[in-house]
Amino acid sequence: MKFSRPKSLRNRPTHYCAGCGHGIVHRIVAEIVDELGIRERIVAIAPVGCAVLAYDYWDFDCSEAAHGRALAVATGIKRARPDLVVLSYQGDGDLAAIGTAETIHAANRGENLTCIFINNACYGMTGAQMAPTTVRGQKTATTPWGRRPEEGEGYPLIISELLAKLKGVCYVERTTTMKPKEVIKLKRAVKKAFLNQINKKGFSLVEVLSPCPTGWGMNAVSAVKFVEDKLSKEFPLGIIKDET
Amino acid sequence: MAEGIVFKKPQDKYPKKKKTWALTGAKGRPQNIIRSLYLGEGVLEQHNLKLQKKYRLIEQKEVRFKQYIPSEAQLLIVAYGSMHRLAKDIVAELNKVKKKAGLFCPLTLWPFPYRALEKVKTRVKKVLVIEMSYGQMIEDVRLSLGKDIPIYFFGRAGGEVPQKDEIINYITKKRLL
Repeated sequence: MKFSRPKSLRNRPTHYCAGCGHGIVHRIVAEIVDELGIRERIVAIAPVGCAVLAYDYWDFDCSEAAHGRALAVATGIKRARPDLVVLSYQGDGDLAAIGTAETIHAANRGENLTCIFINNACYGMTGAQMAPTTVRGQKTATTPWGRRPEEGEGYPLIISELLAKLKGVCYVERTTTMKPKEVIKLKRAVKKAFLNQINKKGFSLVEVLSPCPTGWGMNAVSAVKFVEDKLSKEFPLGIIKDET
Repeated sequence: MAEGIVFKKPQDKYPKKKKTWALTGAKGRPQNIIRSLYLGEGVLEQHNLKLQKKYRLIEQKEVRFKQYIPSEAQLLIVAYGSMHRLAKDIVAELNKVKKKAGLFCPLTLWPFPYRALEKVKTRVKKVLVIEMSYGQMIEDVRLSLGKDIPIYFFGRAGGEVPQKDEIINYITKKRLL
C-alpha cells in the first residue's frame, strides 16, 4: 500500500503549531472527500479561528463565514444547492461560544449538513483565553489559576450532548486525535457524517478533542496527555447519538 | 401621508452573467474561495485599491437625487426619505403664498450628490436641512456648500415626526423667507 497525499489536500507547508490537531483532521476530511468522490461537489465553510485557512490546504470550494455563523452560511448553500455536499468546520470558540445560537438552530431545524467541531477547550488563535468549553481547573490566559466553576466561572459547555437532545440531529460522536486508534475512529465518524448527508438523514456532528500545545503552554506530548487525562474526562469519547 | 408605488416589470430571476466566483463544486476548474481575509504581504492593500476603484465608479454612476427649484427661490430645503415627503408639502404651501422655496432631495445618501447640490448654491440665499434626527445628512450638506451660504437645521429624534406647521413656524421665526 502506497502512502500518499490525498488529491483533495494541497502540497504546502502548514501554518499550524507543532502538535496541533487541525492538520490531522484536515487530512482526514481530504481522505474521505477522495474516498467518497465528492471533491467536485463539496463546499466547506471555514470558521473564524486558526482553521480559517483550511481553504489553503483543501483543494475544493470553500467560504469564510462571520465568527460563529458557519452553520448559517452552510444552511444557505445547502438549501440553494441541495445537490452539493456542505461541510461546516468549526472550533469551539466559533461553534460553542459566539455561534451557539446558529449552531443550535441549524441542528434543531435538522439541516442536512455535516459539521466537524474541533474542541481545544480555549480560544486558541487569540492567545488561549477561557472558552465556554474550558475544562475545570484548566489554566488559560484569562484563568491563570485554573477555571473555577464554583467561583462563577461557569462549567464546561457540553454542546454535543445538548445537540444530541434535538430531534433534528441524527448523529453525534465525540472523537479525538490523541492516538492512532482514536484517529481511525475519527475517520470512521467523519465518513459516517458525510454519508448521512449524502443519504439525506439530517444533521450530523463530529466533535474532535484536539490538543493546542501553544495555547495550553505545553509541549506536544504533554498536550496529548492533557487531552487524555482532562479533556476526555470532561467530554467522554464515543457515540452520543446515532439514529441513522 | 402615503407614498405612491410603481410596480416595474419583473426582471429575469437569474442574471445572465455567469458567476465564475460561485461555490458550485470545483468541477473542471480550480477551487473557488469566498473570503475577506488576506494575510499575504501587500495582498490586502491590492484588494483595498480594487475596492476604492469600485467605490469611485459607484460615486460616478450611482448618484441619484430629485430637485425642484423655482426661479427666484430664496430658500432651499434639503431633505430625504419621509422628511422629503413632508418638505414637498411645505414647499407647495410656501409657494402658494408667494414665498419662493425650492427642494433638493438626495435619493442616494451614499454616494451623496455633492456636485449637484453645489451647483444649486448660486440659485438660493439660504438652506434649511430637515431630518428625523439631530443632524446626520447635514454634514454632507455642509461639505457640499461650504461656508458661502447660511445653513439652518430642524430635526426631531426618537421617532417623532416633525409637523408641517412647526417647520413653517421655524422658517418664519428665523426669517428664512
